[in-house]
Amino acid sequence: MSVAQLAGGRVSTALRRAARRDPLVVAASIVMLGIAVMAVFGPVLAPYDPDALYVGPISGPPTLAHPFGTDDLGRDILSRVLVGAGPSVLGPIVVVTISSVLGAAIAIGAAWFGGAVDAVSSRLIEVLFAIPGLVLAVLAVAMFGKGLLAPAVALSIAYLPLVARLIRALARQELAKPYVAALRVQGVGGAAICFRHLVPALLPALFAQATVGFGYAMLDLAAISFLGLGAQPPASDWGVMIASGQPALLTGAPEQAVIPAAFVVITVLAVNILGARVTAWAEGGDR
Amino acid sequence: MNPRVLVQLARQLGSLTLTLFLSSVVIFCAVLLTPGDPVSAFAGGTRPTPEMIAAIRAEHHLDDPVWLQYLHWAGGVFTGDLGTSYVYRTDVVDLIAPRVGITVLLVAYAVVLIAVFGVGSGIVAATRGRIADRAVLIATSIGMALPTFVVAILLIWIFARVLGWFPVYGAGEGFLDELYHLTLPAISLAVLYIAYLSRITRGAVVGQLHSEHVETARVRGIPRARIFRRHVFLNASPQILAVSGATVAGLFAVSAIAEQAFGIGGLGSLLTEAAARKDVPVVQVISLLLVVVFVVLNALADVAIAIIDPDSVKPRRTA
Amino acid sequence: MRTTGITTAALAAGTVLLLLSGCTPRDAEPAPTSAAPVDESSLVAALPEATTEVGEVTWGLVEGEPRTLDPAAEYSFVIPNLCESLLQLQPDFTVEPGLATSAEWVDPTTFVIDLREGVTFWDGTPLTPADVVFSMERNRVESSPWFPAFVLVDTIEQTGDHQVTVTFTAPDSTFRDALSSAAGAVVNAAQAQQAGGAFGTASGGILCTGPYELADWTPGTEIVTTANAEYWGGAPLTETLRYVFVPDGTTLTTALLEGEIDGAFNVAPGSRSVFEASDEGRLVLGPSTASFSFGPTKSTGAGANPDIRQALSLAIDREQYVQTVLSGLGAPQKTFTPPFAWGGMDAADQYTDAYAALPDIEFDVEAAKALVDGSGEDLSVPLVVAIPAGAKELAQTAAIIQAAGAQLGLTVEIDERQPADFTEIFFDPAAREDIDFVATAGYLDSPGVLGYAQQFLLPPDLGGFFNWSEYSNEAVTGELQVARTTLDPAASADAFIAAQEVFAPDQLQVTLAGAYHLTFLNDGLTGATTSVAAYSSPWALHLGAE
Repeated sequence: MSVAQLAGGRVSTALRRAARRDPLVVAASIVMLGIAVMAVFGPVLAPYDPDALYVGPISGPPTLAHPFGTDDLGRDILSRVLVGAGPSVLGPIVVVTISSVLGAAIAIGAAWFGGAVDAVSSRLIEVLFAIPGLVLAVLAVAMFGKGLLAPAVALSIAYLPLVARLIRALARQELAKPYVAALRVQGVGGAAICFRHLVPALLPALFAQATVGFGYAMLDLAAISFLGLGAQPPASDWGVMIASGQPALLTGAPEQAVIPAAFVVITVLAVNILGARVTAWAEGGDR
Repeated sequence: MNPRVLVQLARQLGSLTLTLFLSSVVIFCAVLLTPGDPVSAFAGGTRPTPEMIAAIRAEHHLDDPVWLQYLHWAGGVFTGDLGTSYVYRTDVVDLIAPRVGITVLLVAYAVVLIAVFGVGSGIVAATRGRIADRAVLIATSIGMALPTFVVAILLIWIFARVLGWFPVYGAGEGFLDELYHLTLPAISLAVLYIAYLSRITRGAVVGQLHSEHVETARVRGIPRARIFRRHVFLNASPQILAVSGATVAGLFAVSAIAEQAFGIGGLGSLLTEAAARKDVPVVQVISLLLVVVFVVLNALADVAIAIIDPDSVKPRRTA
Repeated sequence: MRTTGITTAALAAGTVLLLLSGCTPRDAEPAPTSAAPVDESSLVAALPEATTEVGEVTWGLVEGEPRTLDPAAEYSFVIPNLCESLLQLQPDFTVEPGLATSAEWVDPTTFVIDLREGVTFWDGTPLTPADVVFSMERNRVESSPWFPAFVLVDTIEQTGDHQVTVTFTAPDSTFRDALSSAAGAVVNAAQAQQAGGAFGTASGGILCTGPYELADWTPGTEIVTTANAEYWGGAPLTETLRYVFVPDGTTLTTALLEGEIDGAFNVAPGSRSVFEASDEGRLVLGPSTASFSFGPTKSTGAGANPDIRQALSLAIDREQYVQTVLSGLGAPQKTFTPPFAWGGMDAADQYTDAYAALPDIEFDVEAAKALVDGSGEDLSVPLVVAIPAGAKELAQTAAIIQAAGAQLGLTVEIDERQPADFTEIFFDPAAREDIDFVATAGYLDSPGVLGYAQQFLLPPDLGGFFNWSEYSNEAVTGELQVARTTLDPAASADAFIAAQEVFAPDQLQVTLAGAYHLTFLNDGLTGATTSVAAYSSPWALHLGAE
């Protein structure tokens, strides 16, 4: 589920309904739409080549030509932020997608088969819970070397228990409902019940969890990059920009680190607001 | 405490021990899954002769069957032999031991900040009317989007460039100087968790305020402060305690970022450095340590919850 | 329904961040586009000797924690204060007696070393010729980084109570100067043998004769050294010299500016403006042999083609490079051999004249494009530049090479490797397979012009350890061999210069700039060596209060 779909697809009706009562969600949606546009069209929108050196002064302040200033190689920060949106958003999407799919699969399997399958998978989830996501990601880096791939896969696994635990509980509730027994009596096959009835019923909760997870994943991946273990320079990933802009904090050019940091914060803020609303919607309530 | 609670508690503690065991297996497997030969990692940069290879294999038990290697490694937890660093060639324990203190102090400092401001603001939000609730909600919404590295760079920038009230480098010497030095790092660690705990506290307290026994107590004319202490807060605390294990384990992990940003030579910076240098044995032991922290704190929280509210003893709901 | 408040706050949070960043005070008016030029004659090789004692000095090592203090295995700024060499390299790169009072050729293949009498190790045992023979033999194995200095050595023997004699298979013009580097460092034989594999590590320790002795090493935290009261040259004024490891340049800058760390070498040139504005300490610019360069890693691919290297060289504006990467704290350099390397040598004038005669560095993108077009290389294959992780200056260098390549239609990719993996490039051909260039910051640790030339240009069996592109030119090989085996300084210089005229245009290393030796030292402290000689000689010998 991409952010673009989130902003424009099936959720939009729900958003519009909520918007009448909740301008906050509208604001957050607009922010997310903006980020989505940046992520998709960033390279087109960028006024300069993000990797071109000396398009402005070295560590130049914000000016009309360079609204966010220029970095230590004279690259345009606005262009780098725009182009960096793609990878910065893609990482969390990958994490959320893998953890949602795998987590849901494990949870549904556990709820469906029960018994030993349930016991083993619950135990597995319990174990993964005990290792903080960041640590699992760092361990992955120690094993496979730096880059975004290993930490992203590790975070997908680290987030899996959150999804699995929620979905397992909901799936058990759903399976206990009388209509499932009725379908079984009618001779409807297991696969059909699972994919036609169970999965659709779980989707809203899964989607809500994915939205919340996106925010966390973004923060964790940016943290990995900040530690110098994730995306590598000269990538214009926001986390990398924050890390490589850090020296300039001391020399009086804070925008090199602060601006990408602001984009991370604003994105996560918007996602959190949407996540809370989507969760409420998924739970059927409207607090 | 009635026997049912004790049995349930014992079962939970057993389950945590099993978790600990299984996580240690997962962490141990890291070294097996790591591409490349540990021998060349130990030889580091030089071309080892066959005799050197044999010596390295023997010294680090690389020729033993995997399960025996695991037992050797895990048994090291009790004997203090946790393997050898690829990079420093010294015992991992010797690397970790001098660094634990400062990280524990940093995390403890952050925990105090989180407990005071997180729980405090949550209670304020729940009990001091709409405006307070709104204000806390705004603050926590922003706080939940402020990760450690962002807070850290903002603090460094503000305090190094503009204000200069607090040092932005190093850990200091002596307890008070250490606290002074750790103030900014602790704040950078705490912000996100303060917001998180504030939300949880508010939810738990609001839930209790509307509960039947609080209504009853109110009808019986018990003073508000007493109701709050004896009924509301006490009954809300299990929900707060339930997230403490994950929170503190998380703080230990995130301290890597604060330590890196503020140049503190603690466990977290060792973790980062070791990961960057592919020093798997060091990363393994620190990971295991964090799992132990998580498990022990959860066990303590379970016991505390069982004491506060024996009826609530059931499988935990973490984070 | 909690609403507009948060919306406003959310937007406000973002705007506040953006506004704040625009409104803080800035250094050097509108950010420095061009840093102030440095007059080379104003470089300081050593600060005035200290006169007053000081209790403890904390020194930051941006290179990180050494793996070992064994001088035969690794270099670090800790070692030269602990383990001395037979000859002592001076801050101005001249060579003076050290543990040896005299070290001279008695005939073309016999070199006699007379040891200083009365020198003791830290534990009080006297320095013996056996220790010297032992130490030199440790360096004379192929795995030692100092092996090239010993390739022509035949035997090393004790020939008196205070004398060691080295015999050679051929005369060696580089040997004497090499003894002023760690190649001539002396350790205690008995202790080294006893410590075995742990020698030099935190557990095994080390025993030497230098002005500071190793007191304590807490791995991952600090190395503590204390003044050697019995030092033959007089005890240093600094009682305790403590080294801390700060591999991050920015963190080191902060620590120095806050006075938490008293001094450090190789501080980040990018922080020049804040260092110069500091009221805590001062930035000292010293002469150096350090240079930034990149070179080919294999004999295949476009990187091995001299035209491509020439083109990249032409497409990089060196003045701008010095401004960007070094904040003006360096100068363009015509060839890989840095002028400071010969500054103290007998034939210095000859080398200087020859350097002046080399063609000037050009910046000509059009000419570069023409070279690339005429090279016949497949431009669709990306060129990969390897750099060590965490080195900001090299990351910038790689980005500059990438941008230069883009102008010429070459795709350049950057491969940032962990220090351990990066070192592997120099040992293991397999590690070089996926890369075309390696960008490095290197320096020469003792006087001499032949170091780079031999490594990059000779066949591997003659010492061309880094001749990965399989450069081969008989004239160059012949002249370099003559330069090495001619003891007469002028004749040796003639041979080298003849070779240099041939190999310089081939740019086996595209040298981007020479960098000054940067030292930041707390006000109130003085006496440190502030030139590149700090890598080889006890730089803290005269360290103390003003």
